[in-house]
Amino acid sequence: MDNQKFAKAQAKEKMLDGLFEYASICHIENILSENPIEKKIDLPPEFDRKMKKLISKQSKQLKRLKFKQKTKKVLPRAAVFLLILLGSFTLLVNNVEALRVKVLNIFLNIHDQYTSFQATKNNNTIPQNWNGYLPFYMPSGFEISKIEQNNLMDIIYYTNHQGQSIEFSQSKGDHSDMRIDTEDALVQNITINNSEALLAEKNGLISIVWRDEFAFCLIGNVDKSELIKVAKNVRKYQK
Amino acid sequence: MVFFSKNNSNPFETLYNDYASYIYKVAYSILKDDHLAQDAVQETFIRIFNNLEKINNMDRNKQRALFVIIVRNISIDIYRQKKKEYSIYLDQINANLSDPGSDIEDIVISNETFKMAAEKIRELNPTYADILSLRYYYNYDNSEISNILCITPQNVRTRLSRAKKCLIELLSLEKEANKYG
Repeated sequence: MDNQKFAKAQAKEKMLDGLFEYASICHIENILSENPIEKKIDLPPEFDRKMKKLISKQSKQLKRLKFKQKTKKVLPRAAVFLLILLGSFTLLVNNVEALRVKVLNIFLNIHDQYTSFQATKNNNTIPQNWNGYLPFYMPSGFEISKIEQNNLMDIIYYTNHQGQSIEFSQSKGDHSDMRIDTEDALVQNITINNSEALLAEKNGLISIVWRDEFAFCLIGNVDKSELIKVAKNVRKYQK
Repeated sequence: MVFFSKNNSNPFETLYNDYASYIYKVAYSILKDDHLAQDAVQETFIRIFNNLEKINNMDRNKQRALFVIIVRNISIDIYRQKKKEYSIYLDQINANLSDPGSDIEDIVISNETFKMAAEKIRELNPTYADILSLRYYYNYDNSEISNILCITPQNVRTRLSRAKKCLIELLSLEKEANKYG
């Protein structure tokens, strides 16, 4: 019984709504007939200018709003797409060894060239964390002028007041190599502390390379025997 | 032909070019003052802009009637601010409205009622007739009506309820008159 009462009340409401809708349509018809389309009148130019300004302001606002809405729509999709791309790339790099090596090499190269090549804070003294070898003999007058360190190589520059220089490099990696310019140079094989070494003389510059625990290189515009002596005195640095 | 559409990519500008003069005339017919009518036109276009998406998809007659409703309400608001008596008059009408109750509704819903509705809607206060049209013809919800008329949703509810009661009362009074007259 209650259900029927409720249904009747609902039906009555619908009929009333129908009546209101009918009255509304009549009202719109009245509006249209009471306000017919007539000849256009010219609005004052000042008002017209003001309205054009308003229109352009509102249009810009609308454009900004549309842009915001578009960005809101597109951004999450772009983020998801990037995530998927990044995920796939990571998976691919993890699974394909050749690719992994290449990618790691890219990072390593960048690292060596731009990031990790650093001069020590006080760059004319051996830093506390020095790891590896040092020349324990240096001709008189030579002092450290600069030290450079990176992941694979450490270089110490020595200079004296006569403008002469000696450059000592040690390369710590297993597969690292030291290269010297032997083109048109006078080259001879020598021994440095039981290790085979190569000595090259070119334009007054002496270069010695040899391998012990690390690969070493000495380059200097000093006397050959002096540079050999420096090389023979390269020993492990004990803190 | 009075109305024409320039091939303009900006829909707001197109509406302005097509309807500014028309809307101005409606505003002037109520306010009888150039400057006040211009204010009403400006405010009308701001409200049109705020509801542009819906308005753009309407046919031109529907658009035109809606603009009349908007500019008329704005003009009445401006007029009210200038002449306080008008609002007192409206308040008096509102105060006299009692709940029609189910009996009156029973009287109202009959076969001839629709004919009467077409006549009585003319007698209904335009503010009430407008809000009924916004709800039942344009199918706007309370928040949309609130945006168009710039009144609070609470006011929309109150005005809509009073409009319904008022129309029912006008119809029932007519019925009663027919019955005894």
